[in-house]
Amino acid sequence: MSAEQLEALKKEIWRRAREKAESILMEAEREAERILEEARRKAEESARSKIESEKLLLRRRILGRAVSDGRKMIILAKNEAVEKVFERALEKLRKEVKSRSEAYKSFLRRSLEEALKYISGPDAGEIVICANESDLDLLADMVKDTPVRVKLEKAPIMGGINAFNTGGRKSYYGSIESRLEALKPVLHEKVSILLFREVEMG
Amino acid sequence: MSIASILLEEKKAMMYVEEARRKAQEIVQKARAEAEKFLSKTTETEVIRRKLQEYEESLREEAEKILGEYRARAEKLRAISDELVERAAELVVKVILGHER
Repeated sequence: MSAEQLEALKKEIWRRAREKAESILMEAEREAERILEEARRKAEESARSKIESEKLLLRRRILGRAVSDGRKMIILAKNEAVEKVFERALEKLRKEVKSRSEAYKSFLRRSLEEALKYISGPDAGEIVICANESDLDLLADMVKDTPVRVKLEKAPIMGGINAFNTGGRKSYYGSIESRLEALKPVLHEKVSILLFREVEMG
Repeated sequence: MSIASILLEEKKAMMYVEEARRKAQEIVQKARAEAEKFLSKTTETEVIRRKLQEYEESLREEAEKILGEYRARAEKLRAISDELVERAAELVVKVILGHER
C-alpha cells in the first residue's frame, strides 16, 4: 500500500467516525426532545383532569354571582318603576279628594255604606266614622237619614273613612291609605303586568 | 505510514465514536431528569394555576357580558314611558276608588 493510499484510508476512517458520532448525537437530541414533549403532554393531560372540578366550581361561583346580581338589578329596576306608579297614583288620589270628584264622592258613599252594613247591628251602639276634616260635611249629609247613631270625627287620613263602634268590637278600614296598603300586593302584580309586558315584549 | 498507524487511527476513531455515545447518553439522561422534574413540580402547580387563571379570566369576561345584558334590560325597564306610568297610575286609582279587586 502506498503512502497516498494509506492517507486516503485514514481520512475515510475519520469521515465514517465523524458521521457515526454525528448520527449518534442527533439521535440523542431527537430522543431528548421526544422525552420532553411526552412529559409536557402528560403534564397537560394530568393538569386538565385535575382542573376540571376546579373549573366547575369557578364557573358556578363567577357566573352564578353575575346572574344573581343581574336578577337583583332587574328586580330593583322593576320595583323603582312600580313605586313611580304608586307615587303618581297617590298624586292623582290627592287630586280626586281635593277636587271632590264624582268618582271620589261615589267611593266615599260606598265606603260609608259598607262600613255601616258591616258594623251596625243590635249591639253596635254608636258608630264612629273617622275621616279627613274636609270630608266631614259630605259625610254629615250622607248619614243624616241613617237610622243608626253616627258620630263623625276628623282623622289624619287622606281620604275615605275608617269606622268602629263604641263597643269596640268591630272596625272597618276604608281609608285610601288602608286600601292602598291592603291592595298593594294585588296592585303591584297588576301594575307589573301592565308595565313590563309591554316593555319586555316591545 | 504503515498498517500499524492505520490501526492506531482506527482505535482513535472508535474512541471518538464512544465519546459521542457517552455524550448522547448524557443528553438523554438530562432530558429524562428534566421531564421528571417538569412532571412532578410544574404539572402540579404552575400549569394548573396558569390554566385556572386563564379560565377565570374568560369567566370574568363572560360574567361581565351577562351583567351588561342585565344592565341594559334594567335600563329599559327604568325608561318606561310617562304615558305607561300614567295608565298604570289610573289603574291603581280605579281599583282604590272603584272598590274592585
